[in-house]
Amino acid sequence: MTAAAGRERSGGAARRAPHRRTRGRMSSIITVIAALAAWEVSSRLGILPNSVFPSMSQTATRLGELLIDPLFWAAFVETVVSWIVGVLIAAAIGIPVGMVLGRVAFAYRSTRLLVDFLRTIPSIAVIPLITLLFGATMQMKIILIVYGAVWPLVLQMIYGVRDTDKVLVDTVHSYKVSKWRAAASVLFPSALPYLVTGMRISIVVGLLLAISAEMLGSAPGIGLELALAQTGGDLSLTYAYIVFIGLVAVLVDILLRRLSRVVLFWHASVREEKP
Amino acid sequence: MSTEAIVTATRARAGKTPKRRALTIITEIWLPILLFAIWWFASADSTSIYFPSLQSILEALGEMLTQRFASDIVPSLQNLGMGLLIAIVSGIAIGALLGLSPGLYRAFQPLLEFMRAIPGVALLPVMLVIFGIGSSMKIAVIAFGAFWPIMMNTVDGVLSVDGMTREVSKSYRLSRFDHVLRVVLPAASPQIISGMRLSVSLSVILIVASEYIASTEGIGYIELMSARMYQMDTMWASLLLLGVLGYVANVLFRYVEHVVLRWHRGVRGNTQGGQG
Repeated sequence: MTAAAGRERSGGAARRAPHRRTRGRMSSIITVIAALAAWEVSSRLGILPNSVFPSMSQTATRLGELLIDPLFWAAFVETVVSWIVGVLIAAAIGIPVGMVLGRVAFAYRSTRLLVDFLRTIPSIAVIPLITLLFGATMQMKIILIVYGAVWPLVLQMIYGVRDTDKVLVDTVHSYKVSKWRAAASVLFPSALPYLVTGMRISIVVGLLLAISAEMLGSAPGIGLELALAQTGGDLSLTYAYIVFIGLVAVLVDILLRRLSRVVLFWHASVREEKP
Repeated sequence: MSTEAIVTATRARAGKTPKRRALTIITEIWLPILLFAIWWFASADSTSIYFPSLQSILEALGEMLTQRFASDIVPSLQNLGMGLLIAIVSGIAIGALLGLSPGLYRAFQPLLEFMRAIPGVALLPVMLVIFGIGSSMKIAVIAFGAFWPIMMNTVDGVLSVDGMTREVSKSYRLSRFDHVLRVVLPAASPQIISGMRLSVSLSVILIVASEYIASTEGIGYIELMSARMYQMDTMWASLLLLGVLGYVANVLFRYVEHVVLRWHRGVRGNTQGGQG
């Protein structure tokens, strides 16, 4: 969270100096072009051995071919569907559970060790088990994603609910507001910034796990295609998949950052702009 | 909050009556113990191949810990430690460099954001081609994956060192080296450490993943092989072991964090302490 805050801050500084921002953008465009050119030149000159690094142009051509291949998009849809469904189920479980645990001290203390233990099991480690139980299927992928993506949501909701203004909680108490209404109109909004952070982490984790389940558990999707490209010895195709996955992840990151600013405009703006 | 206030608050917390402390401990452990007991008795005469009895799982775990410790568990931990070490050293060094020269950072930012976004697992096939099967490939995957959170957080931490601090160290004519080592990095340490915390959990994931894909040793390898051979007690045992490993890594790290950042909490009050 500190990282995100820091980046937002530097973004604010850039907004204040428009000419500096364009200069920054120019320099970064030049760097990207230079890096791509360096990749191409060094693989042409044989500095990067061709046996392990295909050239940039080869990779780009393969990526271009992929983007017009309907089979590729079918595999991508497999990945995206499990990703979205998994994260949604994780949210449906994680948000209410986190709210209860954040609100009820006894429940929080009783489950603390358990939650700590379960969430630190590297989520990938359950792949062999669930592959045996469910086979290399969409179901298996979704279960893995739910398992991995639920913890950030639970934890962030706990922090968020516990961070609710004590006066607000007392006020709700003295006005005898019903529990449901208090949860919906006091706890939830005040935990929203935490929830947004939790969702961001869960969504990123969800993509990572979808691809991992496909690569390591052979469930259909782009991860499986990537693994197949490598075992088939098609190196430039392997790189094309990796570049594609990287681009998707970057895009998601940018979208989430924008979206969280939109969702939290009332919160972030109120808190940041005050001197 | 003043330092004294924190000191009294911690004293008050530490000075709980033994009875209340016992109660706290009981509330924390009754559920895990209950679940463990339920698992034990419910699985006691299990005939399912997928869910063997907890007793046989624990026996398999004992066997694994005694017989395969040197051959599988130690290599896993070694690769993990090595990869993490490379990531920490290079992440802090490059992060500090980029943080101190914002122009350079801005220029490289999109490239770095892209590299960071590539999931470490997706790089396994390529790392396999470059390094072949062996521990160098695993170390490379871990180092790559664990590098980004540390590096990015170091940059953020260094960028957030306030101007006043910089001016002071300039007016004391600190050498550039001293300035970085004694002023900038300590000031950035809370962020660096929170990046490292992410990296630790990431690297546990990556060691398991790398042991799945091409390996002849390691806890992840044992797990995958036993799952393929339907030796479910060994599989459950390695899953438990990985859980314990992840948990211990986390607890150890929390302790390190506590020690390293002690000064920080003292200076700033406990405004950032809520995450523990």
